[in-house]
Amino acid sequence: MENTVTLLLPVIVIQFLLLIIALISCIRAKETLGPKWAWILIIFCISIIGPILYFVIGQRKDAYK
Amino acid sequence: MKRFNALFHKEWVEAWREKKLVWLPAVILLVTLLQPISLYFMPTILESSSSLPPGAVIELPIPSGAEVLAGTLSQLHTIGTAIIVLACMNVIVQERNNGSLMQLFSRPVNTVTYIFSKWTMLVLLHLGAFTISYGAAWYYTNILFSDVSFTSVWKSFVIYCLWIVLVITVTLFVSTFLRRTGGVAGISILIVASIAILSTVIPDIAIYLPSNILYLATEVLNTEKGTMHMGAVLATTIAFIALLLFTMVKQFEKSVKF
Repeated sequence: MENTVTLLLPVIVIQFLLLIIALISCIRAKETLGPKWAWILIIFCISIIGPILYFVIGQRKDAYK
Repeated sequence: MKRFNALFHKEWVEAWREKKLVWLPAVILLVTLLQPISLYFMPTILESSSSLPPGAVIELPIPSGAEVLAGTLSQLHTIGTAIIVLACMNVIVQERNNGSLMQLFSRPVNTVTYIFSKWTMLVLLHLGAFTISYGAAWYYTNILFSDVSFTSVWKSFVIYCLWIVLVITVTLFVSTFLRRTGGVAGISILIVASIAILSTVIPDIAIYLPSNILYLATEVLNTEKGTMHMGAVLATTIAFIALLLFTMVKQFEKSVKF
């Protein structure tokens, strides 16, 4: 069992990292394409694909900082 | 060269702002890592998820390390290609649509410099991500399955890198023609998919075409030496990339002159 956890640890860490970065960048963005609360929901609820979707189609290029 | 450096630097800053610098390597790493791990746990997964009658025995042959790495590559070939297209589709189109392209070309900037700064940055980013994740997959394979020799991994790595560069070039090529990101993604995936399908439609000619790259990389992993068509495939791929780059620059020059 311990073996399983150590093997899966990198995967879990990367997934968590993706989620956190997407959340931070979504919350700090002035504007997103579409309502922000929906993006936060998507990032939280759909693992892996949610953050990717946000990064690819949710960001607005003129709304950083 | 100075202008190239400035544009090149700007690309990296932008990639950091979009967080592409982080998510792209992370996603590709996830895709590659999950293959050896899920293969390793396959018996456990089958046992716990299927509703087999008690006493049924599942015996799976343990795949060799080379087979696992080949599986990783084919996983990348489907999911990874789509991710690369998604990551590259809006680099030119977005700048064109929000007007920063017009601003940029009101200064003495060469279109060749512009295209190449984007292309070089994307290629470096993707190849970096691929290096990390392929290395990680190799490490996992060595631990969980049997050892794979460094030379075969290195050769398959170099061969597969060409496919990644080809996908990036095709996406950039399409985005110099179209003005919508959705269209760019659709057409690029269509082109890449039709290149990949060629090897089943016209198998006689396709042994010399880039569609054979995945097969070549797998072959190298299994036997440690390439087949005789390796040189031809690599040459046509490089020629194809060069042709696309050339047409792209020409077309882009036309589209920014008003």
